[in-house]
Amino acid sequence: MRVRILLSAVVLLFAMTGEASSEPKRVMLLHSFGRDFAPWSEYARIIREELGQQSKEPLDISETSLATARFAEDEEGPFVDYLHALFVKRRLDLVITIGAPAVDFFQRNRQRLFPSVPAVHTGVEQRQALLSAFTANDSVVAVSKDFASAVESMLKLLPETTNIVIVIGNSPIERYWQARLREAMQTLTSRVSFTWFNELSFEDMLQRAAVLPPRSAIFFGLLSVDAAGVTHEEGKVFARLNAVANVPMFSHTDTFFGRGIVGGPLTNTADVGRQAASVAVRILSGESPGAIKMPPIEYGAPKYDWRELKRWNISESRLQAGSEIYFRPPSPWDQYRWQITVGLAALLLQTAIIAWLVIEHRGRHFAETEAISRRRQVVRLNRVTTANVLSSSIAHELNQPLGAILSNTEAAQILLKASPPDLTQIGEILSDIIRDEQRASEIIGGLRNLLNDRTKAELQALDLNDTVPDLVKIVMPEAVKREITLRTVLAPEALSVRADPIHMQQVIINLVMNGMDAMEGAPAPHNLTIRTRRNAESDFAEVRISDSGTGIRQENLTQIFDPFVTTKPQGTGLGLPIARTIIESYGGTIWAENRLRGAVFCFTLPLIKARVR
Amino acid sequence: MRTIAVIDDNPSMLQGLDRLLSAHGFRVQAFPSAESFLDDIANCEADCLLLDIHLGGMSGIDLKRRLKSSGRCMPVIFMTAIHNEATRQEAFEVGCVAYLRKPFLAKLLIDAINTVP
Repeated sequence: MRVRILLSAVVLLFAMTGEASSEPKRVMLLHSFGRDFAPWSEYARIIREELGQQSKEPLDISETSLATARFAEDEEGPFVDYLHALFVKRRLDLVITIGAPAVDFFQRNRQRLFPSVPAVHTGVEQRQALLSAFTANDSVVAVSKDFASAVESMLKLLPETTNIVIVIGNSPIERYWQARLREAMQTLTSRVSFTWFNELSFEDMLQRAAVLPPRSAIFFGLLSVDAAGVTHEEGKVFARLNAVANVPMFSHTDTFFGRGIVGGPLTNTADVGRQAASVAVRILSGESPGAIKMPPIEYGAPKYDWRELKRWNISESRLQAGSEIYFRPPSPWDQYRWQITVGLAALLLQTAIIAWLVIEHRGRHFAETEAISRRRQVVRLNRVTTANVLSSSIAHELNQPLGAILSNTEAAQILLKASPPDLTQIGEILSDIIRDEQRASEIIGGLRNLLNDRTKAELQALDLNDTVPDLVKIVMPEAVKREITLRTVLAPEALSVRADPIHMQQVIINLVMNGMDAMEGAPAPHNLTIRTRRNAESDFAEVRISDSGTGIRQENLTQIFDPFVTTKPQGTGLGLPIARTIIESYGGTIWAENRLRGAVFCFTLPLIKARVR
Repeated sequence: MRTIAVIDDNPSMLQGLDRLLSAHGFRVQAFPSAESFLDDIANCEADCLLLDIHLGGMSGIDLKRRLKSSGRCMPVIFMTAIHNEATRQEAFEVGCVAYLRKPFLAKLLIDAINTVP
């Protein structure tokens, strides 16, 4: 039996312990005026949030509004009864009072309502806190309100101010604070006058605030109950007042920061809420409330609303050092940082690409100019080389008429001395001299073309049928010297092409010299034929230079126009590539074929008519 | 009167020399090629041969060589429109009174002829 009773007791104990540990801690927030009354509503909101974050165990948070701050103390009886009824069977683990009326209520009714419940008192000014007789079961998170410094700061911002309107209500707590404010402003009465709204109904306040004299400012203190006894939610009255006020508004708490006050040194509501929550958590964790001593929370660093500074034309230079400015519209950089960065990057990239392209273009242009210059030099060098190869033949051809001219002249001199001179013979001599001189001129003219060093090609319409006989005069002596029969077969119709005549001559001479070289060592007869014709299938003129040499080896047929490819021991390998360069620059084509005996080099050029069409 | 045989394949030159030498009082026998000279060599009475080196067909030097090998030691004055040192040396090696580069003054030619005994 004893054992059974013992076991039952142990089971009951475990059950009770389990039940106790599973129950959430009960916390009650006791408001002074109402759950929605600023600034206390803001304290309560932050405390709830912070408790949720800081507490490691679940909490059951309830909120009750005193709602009697505006009434006489003897009217709170039914409310006390209500609370008693509410919590007589529900154990509270902590009470957090918000605002001085709630503190006073709690202290007055503690023995009946919450005899052993620990409490945190916040939203109370340190001077009011000193009025309460706190026990070891109380902890206080008070604020310190230095109204004088708040107004001083306001006057630094608006030094021309002559009148300050103090907005404050007429409830017991507001009357208390009206007295504290009057004490604080005492030192400033020599500088500015004060207008007190405590004896006005809110409607009168609105009317007065709308027509305040210049150089006035409003200091919003506290407004829960106006002189007409009407209770007001502070947030709403502030908003209405701010909407009509014709002067800047200031306050002592950041509750209205961002809603219309200019700013200044303000009580940081969030700080107060966080600290109160922190103390609450410590108490719930087992710390003794009386052992937790928190210094009063003073104004935070001055902070200002940029929009209000602009609205009232207040220069930022008047703000004291360390002031913070909020609500400044973001600069384009802040607002579009990403877009600007991307845009700039794109711009930079684009600039870099353009710069690169310009440099590349200039480099290419320079290279092209250089290449054109080099090509021109090589082309001319080729002509000079050709002239050099032909020089002995040309010298022979030139010296012959010169020798004849000299001999004839000297003969004529002697004949002239005779008496009478043989004028008939002298006339024949002179005719021969003229003929030989013309011949010499032609040779020199041909040579001059070969050695011409012009910087630009001179495009002109020319008939290839005229070009061929001209160059034949130059190469004929060489052909004779090499015992080559040089023939021309010209097209019956004109073959007009647009080209530089020197270039045409150079191409044909290159091909002719190439053909002559190909016949060296080949069995006689050595025949070289220059043939011109109109290509029947297209509007192109065609020139064919055929030789009776040994032909071109099949593997060389495609490479023979590449630079430095030569089958001759003394060849430069440039004659045919230059011919190709020139022909292709005029829109023509050049190729080589083998024939039954020897090879034929052909090129085409567009006829002028074809271009017009 | 001395006879000069002139061989040159350039008709203008041949005629000019014919006129020049005639004007100076020489008798001239003109030939357009070495071959035509050889064909008519039997009738040739020249005291001196004015011979172009670069002839179409047989060259002047080859003609001189041929004359030399056949025992005809006619004095030769070589003339050429294409001068180079190798040709000049060859001309003197094969044997000549003078080597003239076209165009040349009549005085040089007459002086050269006058050196022929």
